[in-house]
Amino acid sequence: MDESTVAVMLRDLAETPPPPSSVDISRAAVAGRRRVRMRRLMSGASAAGVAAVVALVAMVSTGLPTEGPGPNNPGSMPSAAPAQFDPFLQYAEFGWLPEGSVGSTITIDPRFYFNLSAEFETPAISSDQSAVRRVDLWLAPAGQNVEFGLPDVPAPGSYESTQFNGREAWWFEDGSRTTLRWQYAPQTWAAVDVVLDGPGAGRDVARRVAENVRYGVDLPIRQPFTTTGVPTHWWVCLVMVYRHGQEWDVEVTYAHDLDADWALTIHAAWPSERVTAVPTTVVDGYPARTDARATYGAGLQLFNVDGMFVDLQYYDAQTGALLPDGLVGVFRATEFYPDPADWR
Amino acid sequence: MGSRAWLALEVYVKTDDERRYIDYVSSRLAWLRKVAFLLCQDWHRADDLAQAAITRLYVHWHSASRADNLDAYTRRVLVREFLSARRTVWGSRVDLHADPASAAPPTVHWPAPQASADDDPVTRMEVRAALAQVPARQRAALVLRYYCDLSVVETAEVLRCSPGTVKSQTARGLAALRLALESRQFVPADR
Repeated sequence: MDESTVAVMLRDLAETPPPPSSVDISRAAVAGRRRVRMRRLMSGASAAGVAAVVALVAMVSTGLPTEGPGPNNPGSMPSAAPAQFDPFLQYAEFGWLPEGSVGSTITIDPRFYFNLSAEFETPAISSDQSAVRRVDLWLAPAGQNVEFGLPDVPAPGSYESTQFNGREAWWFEDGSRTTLRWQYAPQTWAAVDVVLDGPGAGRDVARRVAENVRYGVDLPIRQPFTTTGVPTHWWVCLVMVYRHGQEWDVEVTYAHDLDADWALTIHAAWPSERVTAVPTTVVDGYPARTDARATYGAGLQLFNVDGMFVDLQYYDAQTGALLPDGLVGVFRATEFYPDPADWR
Repeated sequence: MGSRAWLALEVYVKTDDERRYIDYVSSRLAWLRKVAFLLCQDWHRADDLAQAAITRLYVHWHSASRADNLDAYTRRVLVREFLSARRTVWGSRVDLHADPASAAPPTVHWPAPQASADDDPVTRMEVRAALAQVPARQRAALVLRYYCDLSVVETAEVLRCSPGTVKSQTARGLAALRLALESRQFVPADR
């Protein structure tokens, strides 16, 4: 048997008629987004001990701020960070952004971070004509050694120490991305990420965004759904609200207990036409898709639910066992409000 | 039905980058599944492998999308995911269910028309069974060399080994495949 024979055999075997695919790109994107978030969060973890010492030295040399948070006073940093973030309150807001922001995302993992993101689909023009693609604000809760923006092994010259509002801070640059990381409260890190179209004055933009952050605004984050389908003792471990013109999508993810990983996500998006997929079944009159996988839990996607796309997922068999009526039961116990004016 | 299912995989997107990711994966999913199937010999495992690979691809999309050869990057992710999963999750998984296509009797026989008429016809089922007996790393070498048409050097890069190792893995893989096929039970064409 020579090599060409093997090649023919393999090519023929590859043409075996496949069963319907169970590969789910949306699930991969959800899982991938989560890993990306965690990678970003954890990227500086290895330097935590060093940074704590640096922070302590900085505090001794500069003194602690005496003013409390100033929601209407951009740049005024709080004397203490929240112990954890309320998943339904927007803790901070941008006091300044470059022109041209067209979309925004709020993501809150109460224990680990608050993230506010602005997208610039039509390139904005910053002071030095650099096109801004994205601006992110990251805040850690008190007591969490989350250091945003610093990689495990920074390339020499890619970061440098600086000062921000009298506290130790760092610049980190990676291609078109510029990060300013500073302590917005004692020993508690914040970061602004600026992604430009190309090399440019990312530092100017990042510094100005950071200087104008309004802390402690605590704006209510309203939701396009309410549910009684999730056990009341489960807690919300992630909220994500995305708005872009008339389009939106919102995810709320639950965990069983404080130590648990993600258990269940309820996700709604509008308009449903943003999702083009072939339904495989019908649930309560709505075109739907279902998938059940031993490894990844199960998913239920429904199309055109009062104009919305609804996606329910749980991530492990244990959660499935705790939902007696499955994801269909969760869907039926959830009330949806497609008009943002009606969000609760 | 399979192609219909593949077409069903365009989903909502939030960013241009994510849109490009979904467009790319949607367009290459059939190919990814085929390579995964050759590595796994089981469509369920192949889909699990493809799922894991495209998740990893998403995580690295910033780098991947800037790669000179995105297909090569994706194939590398898939093969490395296969080899790493062989050491972890799959070793403990036993609850795989046969799917209709897997269980169907073979309907196409090899050798192909250009092969020698003296050769015994070998069914896809037999090739599949024989390939499954080839150790994973050797199997990956065979798939990369003879299905993906990679050179020895390219295969070495994917497998993170020297070209010499690729040659020896390929030779051993060929030997193992030959041995497995020689010991096969003949399956009549009209069965």
